[in-house]
Amino acid sequence: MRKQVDILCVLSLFGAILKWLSVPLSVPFIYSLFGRENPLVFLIPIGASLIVGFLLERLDTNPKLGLRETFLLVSLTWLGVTLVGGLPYLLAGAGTVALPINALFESMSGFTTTGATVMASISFDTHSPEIMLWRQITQWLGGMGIIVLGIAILPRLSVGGSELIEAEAPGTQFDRITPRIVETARILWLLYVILTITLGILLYGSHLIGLSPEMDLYNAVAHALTTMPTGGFSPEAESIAAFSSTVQWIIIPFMFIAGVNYALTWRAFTGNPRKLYRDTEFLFYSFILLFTAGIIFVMTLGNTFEQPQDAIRHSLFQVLTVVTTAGYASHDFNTWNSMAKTLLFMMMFIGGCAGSTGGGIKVFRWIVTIKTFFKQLFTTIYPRAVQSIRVGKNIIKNKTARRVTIMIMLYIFTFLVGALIIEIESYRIGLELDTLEIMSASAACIGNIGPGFGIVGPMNNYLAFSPLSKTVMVFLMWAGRLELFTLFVIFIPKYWRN
Amino acid sequence: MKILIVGAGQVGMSVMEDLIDNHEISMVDKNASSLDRIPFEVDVTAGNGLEEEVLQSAGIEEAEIVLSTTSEDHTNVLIGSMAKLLTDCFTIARVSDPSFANIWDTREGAFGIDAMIDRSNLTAKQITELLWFQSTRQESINEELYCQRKVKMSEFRLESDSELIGKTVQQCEKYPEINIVGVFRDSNFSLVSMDTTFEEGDRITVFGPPQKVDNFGISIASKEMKPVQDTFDILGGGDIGYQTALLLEDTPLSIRIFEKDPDRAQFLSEHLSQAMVLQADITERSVWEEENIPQSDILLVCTDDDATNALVTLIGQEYETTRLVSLVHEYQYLSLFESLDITRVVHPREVVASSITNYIQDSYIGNLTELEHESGEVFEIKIDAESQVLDKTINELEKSFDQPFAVGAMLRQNHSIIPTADTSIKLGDRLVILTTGEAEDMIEKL
Repeated sequence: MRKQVDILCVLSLFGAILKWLSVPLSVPFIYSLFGRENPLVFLIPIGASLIVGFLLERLDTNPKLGLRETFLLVSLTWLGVTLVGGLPYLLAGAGTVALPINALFESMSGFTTTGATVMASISFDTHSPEIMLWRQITQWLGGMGIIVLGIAILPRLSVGGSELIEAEAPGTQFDRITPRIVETARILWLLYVILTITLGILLYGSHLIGLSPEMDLYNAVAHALTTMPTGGFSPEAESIAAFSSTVQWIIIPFMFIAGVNYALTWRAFTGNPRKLYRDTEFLFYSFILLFTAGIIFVMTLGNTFEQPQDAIRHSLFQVLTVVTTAGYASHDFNTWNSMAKTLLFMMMFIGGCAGSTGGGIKVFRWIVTIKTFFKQLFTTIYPRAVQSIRVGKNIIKNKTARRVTIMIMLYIFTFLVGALIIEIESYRIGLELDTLEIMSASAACIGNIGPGFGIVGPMNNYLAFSPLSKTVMVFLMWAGRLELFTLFVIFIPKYWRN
Repeated sequence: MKILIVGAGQVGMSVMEDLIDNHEISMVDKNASSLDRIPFEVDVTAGNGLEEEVLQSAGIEEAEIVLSTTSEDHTNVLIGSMAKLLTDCFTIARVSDPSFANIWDTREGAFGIDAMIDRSNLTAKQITELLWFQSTRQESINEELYCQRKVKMSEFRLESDSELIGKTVQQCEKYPEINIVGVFRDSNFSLVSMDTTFEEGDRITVFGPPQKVDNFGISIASKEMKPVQDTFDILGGGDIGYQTALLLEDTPLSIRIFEKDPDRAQFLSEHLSQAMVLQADITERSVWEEENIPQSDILLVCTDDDATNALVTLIGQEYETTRLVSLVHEYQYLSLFESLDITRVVHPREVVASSITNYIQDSYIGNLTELEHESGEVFEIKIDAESQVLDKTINELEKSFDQPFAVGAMLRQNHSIIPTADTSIKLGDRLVILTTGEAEDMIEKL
């Protein structure tokens, strides 16, 4: 007899992860002891995560994780962590995020590294620096993956290790750097921490030598924490446009690295840089970025930007921020011409490399899809021909290729349905929006990008939408981060039956 | 020399027939009746070659070479390993599955086998030599293999437009992996020195790894000789068809490979990057018509079944194909295939048997080959612990003999290397030496 989904086991393991959320929560808590926020704002969520976590953990003293349970565990973890992580916004009671639906939106946007905000005014006048710091920490935690972190520190989770990691970012084979999954997870997080610290030092260094007066210590930490996960929550209302061109040039290469497969970056750093230009996905990713940035440079030079150096910097920055799904802005691209905007919109569907912190469809999937397309054309001419899809040296099995194309179709379908619901809801509440605005809002949520065009542009926010629209967006961000299958599978009735 | 052959099938019998005049042979087979046909000079033992007592009673203690050539790959490899455990004989095992050979190729002495004879790879090499190399390579006048087929000697004639003409030996640094040793000019053979200049009509003697020597032959070929861009259809995607396609991957041939089994076709498409794989039954005429097989320049019929091969060959004949090569697995049908008017019939067992025979004959120390123009001799020698030249450099070696000679190549730990003047000679090295003097004298002194 086949057994049903073991809910107690899932809840127990979820509890084990949840109680650890108290550790990152204690960072803004300690900060608040010396700052202006009421420490209770963080103390209550710390208590909640510890108590609920410990209680849930008791439900099953010897949890045995099966393949079915991994999907529920991963989906539930992301939702549960988001709910607890949203409590500080509610408790602080300041500004628009104090409303439950907005707090949920902001928290989900943070953990999924989307970077879409419902804060009406992003400034220290309304929100305390502690709350803003928590907002950045949520992105940093979500970037490399809560489950990957869990595996790195919790021995109980390492049993179902690779299945769990693949459920958190499925679709492509998880790239093991070492034979042991725990070690791989630790190396990935170590690299992530090193890169974040390096960026922080560089940013603060540029402030100390006087190249960026606005980049004080707080901002340097904040931007390091939100660049590496390709998050995009800047404590400045104007995002990166508030900083000097030096800061923008520092952030550009780090966004680029954040969009590359971290396992590949690790291999390149630890002695084999040749791996980079032998990696098809990396080459294709670099090509797309440079090619599109080149086109946007031509499109914007002479109209939006007078100086070529501005045009180069902003086109490169903006293409990177959209492709890697960071969601920063070095310039309000709403003021750009429609050619450049349309191109940027298309870039929203690319995403980073597989195994990066970037969201979206991922470059790898596009490579497989393009090759599948040519294979289909070829077999139309030669019906008897048998062809294999190769990406670099790897052979893509037909099963994987099918999964990839189905994922892209499901992605586009979900994006369209999401856009339709937002459109209808906006019409119902009398919010007048054009098609590109609606489309970009849906695409920016499912792709974990953040800002879109018009009303949801980089200098604006998602506040105006109805609660139902926001719920749909929360769902899109959640589904997008887990790359659809992991979340959708638990909504199939058969999943719950014997 | 005493040779023990396990397996009295076609290959075993044919090797035995080739070697019986000069060697003492003992044979083992499970099937007592298949031993009846063996001449009485041969010691025969009926029994399982995997049993120690059987091997003992067949005289494994005295055997210098143990050849296992039963129909089972696993058995052959196991017998080889076991023979190695019992004595320190030289073990040869025949396999059909390339995966054994792949492991053996990368790890020296794997399974305790000293020489692994890979049926599909050997046959594929034979086929490619028949079909492809002959048409493009600067054809060598004379060629010979040494050191367990890891060193090749070839003689090439320099045509008027070869890029080597006017260059000195020193200027041939472009080919570091091969060694140009001698020149035959005006009916005189001499060893080259660093400043020998090449002239038109020279016949040069070259040593090196077989592949490199063949590539060298291609690169010095006269420029008028364009590489063929023929279309080549392989009918049957078994091990031999696959290996043939693999060997021809980097050539300008346009290759298609036809395979009936979908899973095998998928395997082929995953492992071949150049050839086009088609999943089709080649005994169906519609496939021939629709895929234009008759228009192909070269056809290779290589399914695993002789009946299918015969049928496909007949279909090919009816379409009047230009060049058709067919495989025949069973000896009894060989004459039948040869009676058909086709370009060439390849019999894998014969390829394997002759390769084993060559191997055994080559493995004497001091195997002598005379150059075609009878002005020099080439021999191979293994350096043992008593050798006088142990730990000497090549330079010192050259000084210790008063007759002219050159070390063409050497084999160290299963890898062929081109020695330089200060390479020192180590225990276990195999040297391939060309001399214009008396080879026997040298062998004695070494």
